[in-house]
Amino acid sequence: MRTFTRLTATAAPLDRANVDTDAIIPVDYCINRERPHFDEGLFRRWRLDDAGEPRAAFVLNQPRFAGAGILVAGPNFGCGSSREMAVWALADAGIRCVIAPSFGEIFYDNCFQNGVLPAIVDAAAGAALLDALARGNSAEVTVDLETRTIRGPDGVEVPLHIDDLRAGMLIEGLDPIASTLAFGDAIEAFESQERSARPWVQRPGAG
Amino acid sequence: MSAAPGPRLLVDKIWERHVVRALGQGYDLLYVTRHMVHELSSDVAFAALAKTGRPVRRPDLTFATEDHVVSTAPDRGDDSVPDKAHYLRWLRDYTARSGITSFPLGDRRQGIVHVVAPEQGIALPGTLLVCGDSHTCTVGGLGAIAWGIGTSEVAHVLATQTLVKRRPRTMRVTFEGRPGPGTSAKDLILRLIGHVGAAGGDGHAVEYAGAAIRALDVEGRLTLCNLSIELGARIGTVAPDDVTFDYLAGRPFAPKGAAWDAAVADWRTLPSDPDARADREVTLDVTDLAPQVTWGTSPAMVTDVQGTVPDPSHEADPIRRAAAERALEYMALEPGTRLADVPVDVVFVGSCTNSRLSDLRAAARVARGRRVAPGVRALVVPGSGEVRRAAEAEGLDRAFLEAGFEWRAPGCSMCVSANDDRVGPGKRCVSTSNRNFESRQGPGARTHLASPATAAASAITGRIADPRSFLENA
Ligand code: SF4
Repeated sequence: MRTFTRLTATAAPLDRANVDTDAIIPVDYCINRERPHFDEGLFRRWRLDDAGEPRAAFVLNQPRFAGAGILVAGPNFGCGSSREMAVWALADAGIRCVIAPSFGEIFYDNCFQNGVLPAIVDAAAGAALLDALARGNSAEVTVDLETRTIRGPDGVEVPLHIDDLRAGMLIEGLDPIASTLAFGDAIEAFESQERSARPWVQRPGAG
Repeated sequence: MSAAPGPRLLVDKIWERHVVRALGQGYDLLYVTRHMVHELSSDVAFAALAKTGRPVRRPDLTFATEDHVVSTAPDRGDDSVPDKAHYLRWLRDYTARSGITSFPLGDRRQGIVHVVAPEQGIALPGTLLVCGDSHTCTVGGLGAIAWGIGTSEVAHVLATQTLVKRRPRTMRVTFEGRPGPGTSAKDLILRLIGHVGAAGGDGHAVEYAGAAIRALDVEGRLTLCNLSIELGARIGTVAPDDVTFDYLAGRPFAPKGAAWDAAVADWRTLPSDPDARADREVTLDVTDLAPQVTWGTSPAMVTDVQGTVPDPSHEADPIRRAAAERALEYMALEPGTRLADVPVDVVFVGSCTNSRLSDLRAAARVARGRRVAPGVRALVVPGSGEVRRAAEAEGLDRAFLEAGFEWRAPGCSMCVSANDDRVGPGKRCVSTSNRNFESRQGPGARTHLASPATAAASAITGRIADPRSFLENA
């Protein structure tokens, strides 16, 4: 898996709360597609009008934020459905980091399976960052996972909240399945203990 | 595993019995006792597994059904929805090769994954169940812990039968008082989401308690837990009791004979200990609760069916004000409008929230002997083949058809519009599903979430309608 340590990129401000995964990628764009093309569906209905023309007002269509590698959003980003395509759409569009005060939990977990950093910041820091991006001349943001800091376009540094286990996953780019398979003996021991303790769980429908 | 001193909550008891290995920092390697798969989130997972040559570790604990992209046309086949049949063939092929029990189209057991899991006795109290769908929290209504996962984690579970997960904080919601007539579990949970907000349960596993919850049948508890994810909680649970055990007895994959007795004895130890406290305790008085209906694009934007569209300018919080303004624009609603004056184009009774027999009965009670208003398209989509058969056995299909509703075949249908069931751009739908997000029911669709009774009443009236007036004269 791709590692994530430090990223300096253009950050686009999406000043909305509760951005759901249906908005990030409509279901039509989840179906019959293969990576790396999920970015076609990214924010499809906000990005393009019904005729398929770009909506000039949408942040990712603004020249200042062209080629953004970071997205800054309001609280509860990625709430809603479990579709991992929401993360794939962002990653396929080159966005490797989303900064927000909070995230939908399933989206949050899905990010770590794909080398994308969901960076949690304090609510006030998130609001200030959105503000600085909307008003400032520069849109360059640096996210440093090793020092757990985010440096805004105004040079202000704020802490990024993440636990060590998750940070380690991204920094080392571990394959989660391979990591778990290393516990194969423990899993087997658990199963054999369960077979005697709660046989009805290990054998569905048995008498 | 550390000994757990002191009183424990239901969620903690179930969590602890699934810990294979504590990983530190609150993370555990958890054993997954039941895994449900469906055609839409599993194909990439199966492909990933096949590519690495890793086998499915426990096909006997894994069950598959077809629901998201299937046609719900009464005479459907695999090819009824263009370009989607390969999903079904892929799933059938993979499950057959891996030895996974599967409920394909044409099988009486086929249906929406969260309807099928309890109905077949696959989900049981005290189990840990996951599925690649966010409404997996539904089956917490049986006293399981269950949550939705992404495709990569589906592959992880197929390969290892485990997940790495951090223990959530706990939240208990106690519903006090007796809700008013014409209300259901759907109204209880919509009211709660309105009360705590769409992120009110963020990071928490929720237990629903109180007299109003104990009074619910299992199907109501499943509805209640279904919307946990809409308050930001990945897990929602109700303690198992005799109502739960009666529901499960004799179901195909539930334990039998002596195993059943042992299981029930075990399940009786699961409810939260009397002195156990959750990290967060919420009390909600639902005395005389009225039927609820959403007016915006988040399930938290909800009010009484007799209420009016709120005025965003009265909202002090700037983020919430902006969200409400955007929602009203999308929904084409003016502040102060009575919801009962809002005309509807489509009514959808279905989805894993409200497509079980009791839901269809509630809708049929309103619809029977009446007619769908001119110009309204009304669909009833049973949650599974078993639900469909049971409903037909008691004549609900005829009640709906005679009233002008469509009686369709089981699937997710207009909940997610991944097949060809769509509301239509700019059209307004009263829906018993769980998400009123922009374009969730097809591009440009405007969704009002409500109970089956409210949906049926709205179909008859042609406007958002209070079901209570129908039930009084029934
Ligand atoms: S009915 Fe809707 S919410 Fe339920 S499983 Fe299907 S798509 Fe998901």
